[in-house]
Amino acid sequence: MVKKGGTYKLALEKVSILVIDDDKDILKSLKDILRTKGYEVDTAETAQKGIEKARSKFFNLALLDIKLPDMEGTELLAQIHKEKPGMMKIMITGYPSVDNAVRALNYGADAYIMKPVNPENLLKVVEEKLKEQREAETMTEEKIAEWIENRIKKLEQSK
Amino acid sequence: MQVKDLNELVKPYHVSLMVEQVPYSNKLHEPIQILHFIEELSLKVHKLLDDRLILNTVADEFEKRTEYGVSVFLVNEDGLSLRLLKSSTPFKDLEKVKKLSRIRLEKEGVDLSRSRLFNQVVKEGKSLKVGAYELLSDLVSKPLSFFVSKMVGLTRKEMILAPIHRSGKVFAVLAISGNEFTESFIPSMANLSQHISYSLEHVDERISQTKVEEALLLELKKFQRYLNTMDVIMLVLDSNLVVLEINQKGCELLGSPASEVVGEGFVTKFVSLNKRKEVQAVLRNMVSKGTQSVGQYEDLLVSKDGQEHVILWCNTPLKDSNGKVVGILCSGVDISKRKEDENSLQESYRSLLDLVNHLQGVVYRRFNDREFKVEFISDGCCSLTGYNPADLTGSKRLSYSQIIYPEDLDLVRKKVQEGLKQFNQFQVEYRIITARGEIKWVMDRGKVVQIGSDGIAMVEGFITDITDKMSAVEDLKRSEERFRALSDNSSDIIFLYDVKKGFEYVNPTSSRIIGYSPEEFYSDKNLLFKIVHLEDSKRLTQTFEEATEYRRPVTKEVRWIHKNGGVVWTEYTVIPIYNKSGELIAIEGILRDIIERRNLEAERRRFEDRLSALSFYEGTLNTARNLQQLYELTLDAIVKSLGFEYAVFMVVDKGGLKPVCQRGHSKLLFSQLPLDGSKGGLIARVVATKKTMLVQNVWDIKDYIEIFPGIRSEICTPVIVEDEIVGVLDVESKKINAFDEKDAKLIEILASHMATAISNKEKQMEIERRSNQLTSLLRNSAKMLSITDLRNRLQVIAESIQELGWRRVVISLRDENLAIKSQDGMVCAGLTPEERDFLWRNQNPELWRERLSPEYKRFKIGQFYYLPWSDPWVRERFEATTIPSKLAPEDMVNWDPQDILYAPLTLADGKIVGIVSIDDPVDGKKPTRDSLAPLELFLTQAAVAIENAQLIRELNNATNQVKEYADLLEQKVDQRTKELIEAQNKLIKSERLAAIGEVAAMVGHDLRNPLQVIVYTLFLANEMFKRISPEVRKIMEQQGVIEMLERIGEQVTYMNKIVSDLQDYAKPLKPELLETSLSQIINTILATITVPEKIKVNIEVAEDFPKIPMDKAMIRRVLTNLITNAIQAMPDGGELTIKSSIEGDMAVISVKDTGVGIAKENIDKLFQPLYTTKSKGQGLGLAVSKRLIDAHEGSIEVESEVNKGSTFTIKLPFRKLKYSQND
Repeated sequence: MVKKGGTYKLALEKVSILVIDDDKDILKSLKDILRTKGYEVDTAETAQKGIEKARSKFFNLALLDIKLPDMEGTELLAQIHKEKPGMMKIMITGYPSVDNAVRALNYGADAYIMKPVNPENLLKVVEEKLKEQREAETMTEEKIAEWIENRIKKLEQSK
Repeated sequence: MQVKDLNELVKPYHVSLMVEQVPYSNKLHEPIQILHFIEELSLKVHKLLDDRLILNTVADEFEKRTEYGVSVFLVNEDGLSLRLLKSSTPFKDLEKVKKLSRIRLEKEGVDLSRSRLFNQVVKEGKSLKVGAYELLSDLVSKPLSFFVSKMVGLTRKEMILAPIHRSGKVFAVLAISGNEFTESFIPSMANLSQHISYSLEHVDERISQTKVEEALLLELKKFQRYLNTMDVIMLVLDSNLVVLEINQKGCELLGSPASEVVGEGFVTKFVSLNKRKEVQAVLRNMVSKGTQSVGQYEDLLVSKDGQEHVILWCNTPLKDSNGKVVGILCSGVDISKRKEDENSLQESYRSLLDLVNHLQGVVYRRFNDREFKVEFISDGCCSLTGYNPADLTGSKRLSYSQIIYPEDLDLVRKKVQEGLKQFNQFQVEYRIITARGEIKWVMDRGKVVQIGSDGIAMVEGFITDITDKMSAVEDLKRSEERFRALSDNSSDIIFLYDVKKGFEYVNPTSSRIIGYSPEEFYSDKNLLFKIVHLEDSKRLTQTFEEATEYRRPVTKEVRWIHKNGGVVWTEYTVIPIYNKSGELIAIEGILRDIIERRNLEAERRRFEDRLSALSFYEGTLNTARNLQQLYELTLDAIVKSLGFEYAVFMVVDKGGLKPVCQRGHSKLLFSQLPLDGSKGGLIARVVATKKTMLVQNVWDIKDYIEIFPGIRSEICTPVIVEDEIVGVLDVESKKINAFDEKDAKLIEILASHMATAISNKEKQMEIERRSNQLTSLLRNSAKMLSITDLRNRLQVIAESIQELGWRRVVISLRDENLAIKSQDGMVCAGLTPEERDFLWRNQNPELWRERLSPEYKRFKIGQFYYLPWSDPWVRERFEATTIPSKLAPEDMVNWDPQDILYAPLTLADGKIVGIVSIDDPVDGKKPTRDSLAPLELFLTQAAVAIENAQLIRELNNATNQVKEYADLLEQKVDQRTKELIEAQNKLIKSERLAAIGEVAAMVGHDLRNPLQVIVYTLFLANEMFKRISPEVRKIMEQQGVIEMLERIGEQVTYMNKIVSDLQDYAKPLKPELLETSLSQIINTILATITVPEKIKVNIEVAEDFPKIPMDKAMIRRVLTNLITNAIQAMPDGGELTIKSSIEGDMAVISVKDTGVGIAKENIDKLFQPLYTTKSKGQGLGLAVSKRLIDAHEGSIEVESEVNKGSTFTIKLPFRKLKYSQND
């Protein structure tokens, strides 16, 4: 379990993504696209359902529509960020609302994509963010390992 | 659960949520209706000028017309806390809750400073859509919100909080709650809040405008006050002729305060009944046709006390922006006084006419034509001809020639033409046939006058009835005279025996034939029976009996016994005379001495011849045109008919006898004979005794004074007219005994004829003079009425007075001190320029004040003052100031050349406006009341003329003022109308664009998701292709499926662009300005665009071109658009040129292509949304570009020519923009 095994363990797990959008057709087609790239996908049509799912299950990444019937996207983002700060959150914002985008980032989004969404671009951003997440995790694991090593070294030295 | 403070509990949100519980049946549902509603509301708030009112209106309208709840919160001065507007709906509902829950609402508004959401709206200035519950929980703690939601019922789910800006800050928050807001509603709301903000933004501006308008109104009022002093009535009527406004003067005139006048129908209430129809028509016409010209007309207004005023109106229609007449501005001047004066002038004119009409005779003016067409004829016409003047004047039933007795007509025409030709005047006697068929004799005297400026020759004249003269009575009188003359000189005894009274008349021959004088017959009724020869007495009776029996003259020979005893043989004729009833009243008897008959007959014939000759002359005497001619004719009669050699006629003149005409003498030896007999004994005696003197030998008379040398015998006869000796007719001969009694008789007859003729002539001349005076008065009055210029009018008056027989006339205009105002104020007639100057220099107001003082009252004759020079008192005072008369005293009758005659020109109120002084009477006589009467007419006219002229001048001034004012007003109205139209157009345009924006937003939003699904699906399809077996893939490629998918992809991309454009277009724009390098941005754009090789690109933008403040993204979009368009416009290649320059404080960027160009008719539409020339264009590209540039307060323009290319020019300001980001 020690040393670089942690990264490996993560890579073996299937990456899961939560998509929240009120349009069923969007949800379905987006789900299909993500699946072709090997991601595990879950969907929610309302913000409330999305929050509930995020609470009950682990997701690496969430794609959030800025406009939802029961809650502003930014509001959802804020709530979800509060509960799952480690989850990557990508906002899909209306065209071309820089305001929304900036707000999204302020509320804890990791990236935003403007409508109309280019699927290739979307996949690129998703992959980038997952990579960042992996790197961050690796970093964390490495840091912990380093810290432990240092402690051990200090302990050994102090003996 | 315990609630400590209900005030804490019930926040305004809850109240606003309450509103929704009320079910509204007639509220709006459809989004499009909402759109309309918001549009209307936006328009409405734009018209309001008060912050509160604007917000209240929004709240009210929402409550009334929609199913949304609305509340308005005002931001406190600290910028954080909010107050609920007291009048907005929730506040009212709060009051309801107050009753239910005993809430105390003392303060205005409720503190909302703790609300996170509200503060966010205030801080960011952007709308928020929030869930109602969220909002609730934002305000109160969770347990409380639960309680509240239970209490008020949380039936609405969503709220929109829209900020309202003013002066760049959030001024209030509009909270709208509803069950569910459609997406389209949000931009509408944003739009509404923008409108409200805009309205608020302009409140101050408009208030200041109102102030300017008020100031203008004040100015107008000032002007109106000025007008009040000008006696102008001002009225404003609406299109139904109801009074909207009236000025003070108008109120005074109508005798009612403005409050009683405003709101009343003008015509029906104030215009005199008989004028109503007419005035109504004029005003209605003005309303319907909107005649721009200033109309003038007169009408009668009736004031409260029933008095009528004549008003001269000057009206202007007032129009709205569409040119429809909405009212009339009337300004009027009270001209009642002027009318009165005009009437009084007319009155004096009428009285003049009366004078003319009461003349014995007819004054006329007619054309000089064959038909004698009459222009004017006085009323005397009626009594003379039986026709009314109207029958003859103009082209009516009759011409005057038809009245003339047909047999006389040619003679009349001939005489008139001859007279006019030779003497410019005529006199003719003729018969006329009256309307009743009577024949009358008239004398018609006339002359030619030039009338009017065009100098038409008219005949003016005077017709008198001479029927009496010509009538049978006259004939009888004449024949009686003749009879007497004949019988007196007859060789027979002629007598007239009245059966009752005896001898009426016996001629003097009785003395000669039978020795008994006429007196003896008169005293003895039966004398004939006494002196008849006894043997013939039976025959005497028989003659009488036979004559009366057969009723015819009977002649028998009868002998008589002469007084001296001798027998006289006579033929005795009896002529019985009967009265109308057939009774015998008299007999006429003739006794003819049979022996003497033959001798006497010859002499009698000679006498009769001469008599008839005289009679002929008598006829001609009446045709004499003047006295001199009459004298000449008389002497002609003496010389030619009676055969005498020397004759003189002398007239009595100024106490002496003056020979005026003579025959036979080579020259007159004296000019005047005194009447006292100091120079001529015989003539003096004739004058004294008024009897004819026959002198057979002048040497027999002791005191005979020889006037004519060599005269031996003489007949001298007085010519007596109405017991006055007017002259003496003197016939002389150089022989002794040249005349006998018969000659004396003939001369006497002639003298009596002459006297009659002189008398006639004098009367005729008097009538003629009067008629001339009157016709000239008539003519001048008419002329005066037509002259408006004061000086000319006075000149005419002065000249008219001259025509009345005065050589010098001065009329001067005087002010209250009796000073002459200017040289113009003095009008003279008959004065030399030197004399005029003398008067001007010596005008002495003091003297005139004295002259018109009561001290001079004793000199008054009517309105005139007559100061006789003979009065030493007068002489003493006026020696220095009068112009010495050029006339000699001996030319005068009883007028002294230095006499003074003058009169003041006085108005009805006694004010003296001028003075008339008159001098040098043509007839040389002292004025009398009668002779001054016609002059007094002129005094009145002159005074009225002076006042009229002043009134007219004032009236013109007033009219001009009114016109100026009307012009000013019109200008003002025009200007305001223009401004309004502009504002309206702007509003309409912005409304339209806003509406397009709404649609664009809706369409864009609704298309976005389906397109996204297509994009995703296409991606999936492509992914699928990648994974299928190469065989299947090949088949599909062959079938073109891949290509199809690519095509779909392209089209979707294009559709996405349109959607983006639509959203761009709908989005409120707030450029974020950053100073940006132009060349850099252009390079970036060109880097992303593939330019075909056939197109050459020229960039003429300097590297160091100043940086422009711009929203980089926006300008980039615009330039990308323009460059792409340019490239697309040149499918066959060409040149693309991008240039930059500086114009004032603007940066100018132009994009030029050499492509297909744009047709002229399309250029205007180019920047409108959804317009394109391409089958597949950018659609909204240019419209969006324009919006983006507009947001920069810049401009975009295009110049283009088909097949040559287009140039788009953008201008961007260098200065800092108004709408720069606040935070």
